[in-house]
Amino acid sequence: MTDTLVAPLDLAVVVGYLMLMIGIGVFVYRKAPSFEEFVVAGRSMTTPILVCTLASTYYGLEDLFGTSEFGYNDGVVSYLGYTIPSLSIYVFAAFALAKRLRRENFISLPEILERYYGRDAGLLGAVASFAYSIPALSLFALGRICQVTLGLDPWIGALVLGVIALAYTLLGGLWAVAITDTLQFVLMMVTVAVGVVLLMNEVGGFAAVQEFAPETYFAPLGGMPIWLLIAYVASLISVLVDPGFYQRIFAARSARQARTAIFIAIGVWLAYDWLVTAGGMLARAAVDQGMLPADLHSNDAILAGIILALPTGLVGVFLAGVLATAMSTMDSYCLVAGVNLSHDIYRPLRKPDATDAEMMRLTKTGIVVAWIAGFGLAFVFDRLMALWVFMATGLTSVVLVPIMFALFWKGKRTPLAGTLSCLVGLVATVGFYLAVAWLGVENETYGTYIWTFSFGGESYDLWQEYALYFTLPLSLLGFIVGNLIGKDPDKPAQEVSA
Amino acid sequence: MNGWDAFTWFNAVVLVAATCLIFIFFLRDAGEVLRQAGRKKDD
Repeated sequence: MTDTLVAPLDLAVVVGYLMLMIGIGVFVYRKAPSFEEFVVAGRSMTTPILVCTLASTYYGLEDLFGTSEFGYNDGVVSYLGYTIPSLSIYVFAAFALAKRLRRENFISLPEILERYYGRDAGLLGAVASFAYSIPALSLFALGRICQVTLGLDPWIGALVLGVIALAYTLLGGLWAVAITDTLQFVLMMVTVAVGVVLLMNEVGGFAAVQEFAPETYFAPLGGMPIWLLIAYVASLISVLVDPGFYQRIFAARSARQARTAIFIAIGVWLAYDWLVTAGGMLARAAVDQGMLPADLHSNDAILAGIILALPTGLVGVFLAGVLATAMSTMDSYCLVAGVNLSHDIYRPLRKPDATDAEMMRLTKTGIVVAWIAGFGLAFVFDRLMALWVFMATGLTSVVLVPIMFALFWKGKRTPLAGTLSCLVGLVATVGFYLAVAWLGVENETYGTYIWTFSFGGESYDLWQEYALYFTLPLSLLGFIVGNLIGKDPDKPAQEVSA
Repeated sequence: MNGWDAFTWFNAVVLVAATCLIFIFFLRDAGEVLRQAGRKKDD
C-alpha cells in the first residue's frame, strides 16, 4: 500500500457508483432474460442506447490512457495523425456494414463465417474473436487506476473491480451491459470534459504547453515515422471486424437506427479524443512546471493531471468515470467471449441442438473463463498500445478477408477459401511477431521489437506493428488459393442453421 | 485566448451538450427498454 490521492468523500462516490452497477445487474437478472435477450438484447435497441453502448464500449481505457499517453509523448499528432484518419473507418462501417449485418439476424461474428464457409472457418474465427475479447487490457488498466489513485496493489484493484463488472455481466447479459454502459457513457464524457478544462486552467492553458514542449509537439505528424503512424491507423481497420461492434449492430432494432447511432458516436468520439489528447499534453506541462512528479509514467498522465485539477468530490466522480471507461469495455468483451465459447465453439463442435438453458449456462461459463484468462495476462504486458495492436492485428488478419468476401462478394466462395484464409492469417500473425522478436531488438521508447536489416545496400527497419502489411495479403492469397482448389457448394448459406 | 484553448473549450462544450441530449433521449426510451428487459418474465 502507498499513499492515496483521493479523499473519503471521493471514495464514497466511487462505492456508490459500483453499487449502482451491481443493482442494475440484479434488476435485469430478476427479469430472467432468454438466450437471445442475454446476448443481443432481443434485437430491440434504439438509437440513444446504441450510441451510449457503442461509444462507451469501443472507447476503453486503452483509448483514455493510450491516446493521452500518445498526446503526452508526441503532441497533437495523436489527434490529427491518428484519431481523425481512423474515424474515417467508422464512416465506412456505418454506410457499408450496418444494413448488411442487421439484415441476416446473426448472433455473433464467427457465425457469419460458419454460415458462409462452414464449421472450420467458424471455429477459427471464434478462437480469434475469443482471444481478442479477453479483457486483459481493461483489467490491467483497472489495476493501474487503483494503484495510482488508491495506492492499492494493481492486482487487488483489478480483482475487486473486475469481479464487480463480471457480476453484473453474468447477471444481466447485454441488457445489463447496455444500461450500465449508458450511465458509464455519461460519466465518461462529462468528467473528461470538465476535468480537462479545469486542468487547462490549472496549468495556464496551451501557452504553457508551447513554452515547455519540443518543436514537434504541435506538428501534425509529430516527428513520428510515417509508416508507424499508418500502421497504428491500419490497426484500427479491426473495427470492420470488431465483435463488440458487430454485436451492437445485431442488437439494433433496425439497420437505420444502427447507422444513425454510429454517425452520432463518431461526432462524440471526435470531441472526446481531442480532450483526451489535450489532457495528456496539459499533464506534460504540469510535469514541466513541477506540479506533477517528474518521474510520472506517461500512461498515468491524464489521470494524475485531472485529479490535480479537480476539487474533492468531483475527483470521486471523475474516478467513477475512469472506472466506467474500463468496465464498459470489459463487460462487453467478456460477453462476446462467452458467446464465442458457447454459440461459436461448443454448439457446432459438440451439440448443435443445445437448449436455451444450456446455451445460457455455457455463455456464463465462457464469460468467467475469459475473465480469468484476462486476469492472468493482465500483468504480463507493460505497454497498452503495443498489446492492443497485437490483439487487433491477430483478429483482423484472421477474419477480415473472409468476412468481407462473405458480406460483399457475390461470386464463388468455397468453404476451403474461408478456412484457408483464416488459418493463413492466424499463422502469419503469430509467425511475424515471433520472427521480429527473435531477429530484432526491443525498443524501449515504443515498447516493441524492431528488426533492422540491409537490402541492396540500404538499411530497413521492420516493426512488429507492420504485421498487417504482410498478414492481410497472405490471408487474401489463402482465400484465392482456397477458392481455386476448393469445391463450390450450391448454396453455402443454407449449410448451417441460424 | 490561445487557439488550442478555444478548440478545447469548444470540444468540451459540444461533448457535454451532446451527452445531455443523448441521455434525455435515452430516458425517453427508458421505460420501453426496461419493459423489454423484463419481457420474458412478463410473458
